[in-house]
Amino acid sequence: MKSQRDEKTDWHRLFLETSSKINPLTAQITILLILAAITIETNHIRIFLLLIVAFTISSVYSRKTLSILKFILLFTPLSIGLGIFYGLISGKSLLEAVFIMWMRIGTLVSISTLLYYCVDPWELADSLTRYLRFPRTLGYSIGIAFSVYQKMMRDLREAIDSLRSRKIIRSWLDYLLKIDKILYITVYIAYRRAEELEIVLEARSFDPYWRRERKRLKIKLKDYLTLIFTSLSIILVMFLVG
Amino acid sequence: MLKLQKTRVKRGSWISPTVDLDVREGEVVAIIGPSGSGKSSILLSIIGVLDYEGSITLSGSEVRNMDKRQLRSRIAYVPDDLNSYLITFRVIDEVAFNLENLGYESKNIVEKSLEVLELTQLLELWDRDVWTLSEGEKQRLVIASALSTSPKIVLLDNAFSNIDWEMKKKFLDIFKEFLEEGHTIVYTGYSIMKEFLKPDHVVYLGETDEQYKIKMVKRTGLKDVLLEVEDLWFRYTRERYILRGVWFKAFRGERLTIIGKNGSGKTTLLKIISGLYKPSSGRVRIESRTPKIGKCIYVPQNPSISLFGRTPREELRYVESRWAEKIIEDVGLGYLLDKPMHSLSLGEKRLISLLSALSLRATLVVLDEPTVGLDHRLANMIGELFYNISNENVTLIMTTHDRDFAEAFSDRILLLEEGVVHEISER
Repeated sequence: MKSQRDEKTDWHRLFLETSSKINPLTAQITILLILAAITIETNHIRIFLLLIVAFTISSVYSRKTLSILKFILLFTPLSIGLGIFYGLISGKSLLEAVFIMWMRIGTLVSISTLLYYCVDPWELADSLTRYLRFPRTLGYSIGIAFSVYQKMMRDLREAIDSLRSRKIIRSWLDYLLKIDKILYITVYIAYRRAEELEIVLEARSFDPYWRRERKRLKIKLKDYLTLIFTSLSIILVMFLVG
Repeated sequence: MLKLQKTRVKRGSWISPTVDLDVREGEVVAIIGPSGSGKSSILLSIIGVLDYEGSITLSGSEVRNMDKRQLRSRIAYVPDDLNSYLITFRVIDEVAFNLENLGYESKNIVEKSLEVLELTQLLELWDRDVWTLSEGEKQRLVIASALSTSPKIVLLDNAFSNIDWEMKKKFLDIFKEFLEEGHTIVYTGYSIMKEFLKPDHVVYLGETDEQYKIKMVKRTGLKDVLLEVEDLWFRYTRERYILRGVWFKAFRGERLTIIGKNGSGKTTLLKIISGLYKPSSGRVRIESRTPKIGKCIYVPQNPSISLFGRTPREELRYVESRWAEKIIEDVGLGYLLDKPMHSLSLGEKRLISLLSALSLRATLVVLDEPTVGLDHRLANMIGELFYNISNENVTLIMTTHDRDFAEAFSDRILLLEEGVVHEISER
């Protein structure tokens, strides 16, 4: 058979390169820095600025600004609930408490999308076991969980399309009125995916202790720049603003 | 080499038929049976994933006692549900996955992966996101991945249901080479692929029809235009238009089938017609109006994601369809109605998903590969249903790779090729 390989292509290099848009380790450190800052900060202006920082980093890497905004919107009911609870126990005004909690959850959601959109779950597992010395079983469990989550989100989109097409979901209100159907289908998909995954991982010879990772998880210039930008932004916001 | 003696598989209260088989190197075995007869379970027990009664030996060693790493490096498994098999996000990562799991050196991973990517003609897609591939491309990828470890035995679980004829011929060349090297193939299906992989042994797990028995009468004189597709263009990425000016009309009560190679844009076209995707340019009109979601029912290729009832009866009751329940009972499949949904085979799930959609009696129903996973008996039944429903002025537009089904059950066949539609036959 005639070879389709282009002689000029360095296939060995391509196979060893990562596909994540950001080094998984850089993503984890960035998320931790933002999370630490947002947890200890109580001033609402500074929290708002941290939200902007988190949103900017995620948007630049993922180029999915609208999708990140949608995610923040999806978590708004949770933020309101937690905000009311926070207001009741902290003695702050309910409005201020809800606003602070909304910004905190928004920041958390924005920065977490780095893992969802920009990191390959298998490279995440690799970085956890290689650099952070996680036990291999735990590292790979986290990676696999991310991989299943991403698959599930795709399935859920298809399922919702099918429900819309069959007029079971006709309007936005139906997402609330027929939440039992959506939840059932979500749980069903998750259960089915987990069951299939068990078979597939076995059939594909997966064992965290046998596996030999082939990719080189290099930290590139853009990773250093991201870490510098995040750290400087946090210092600027927390110590110089206000 | 591979020997099954009084082997049967238990899954809950269900027990598969007993299988006896003795396979030598370089032989082809076909396990034939209807949907839900236990074909997949037998294959899964051969790779040691499901426990079994009786005995399965590989080169004299009992499979359940073998070292799993040794067993897996000798047997590869290709499932019927592609989307469950794919586990990474890039074509080269998918091909390299099994090799990494078996601890191959990087250099060997690259060489072996390139070899199978070339063999399956996927090399130019090396960097593509797996989830943007067409179902046919995914099927090639799964086979490439299974062959990457140079296994002695390949188990193909209904693996050719979704591949166009041209690609089947290419696979025939791959597998011929594979067999000549002394490897063994065990495949499952609803019928024997005599022209494709002629088996040395055949195991029957129940009766099924070998071909489509019914040739429906072509409906003539259809004049009332229901759907107009005008100069439709669509692209997922900037580089390539997948639809390049599609024009066609469908009439009220017509059964129209769109055929085309894997990746030719058939599913995309159906999603645009049903209002789920917006075209890049051009327009679709249903009853002279722009389609809205719900105007036309879309039945996806993967039935598992569209079913939300805990049992088929619950699923069908939701669309208030005593009609569909009666059909199932009439063909002797009434026992399915109260089975848990997750325990149904792919073919059975597809049947329920189709009946549930057809019960809604929309004026237009688009069906993506409605026969994949159905044995000929169920496909015959579905074909008859399509005929009866179209007689009630419901228009059915479906895609399929199954040319025989298209010819038996359609009024008109369109070919989608290089993003353009041609009318190719009127029976």
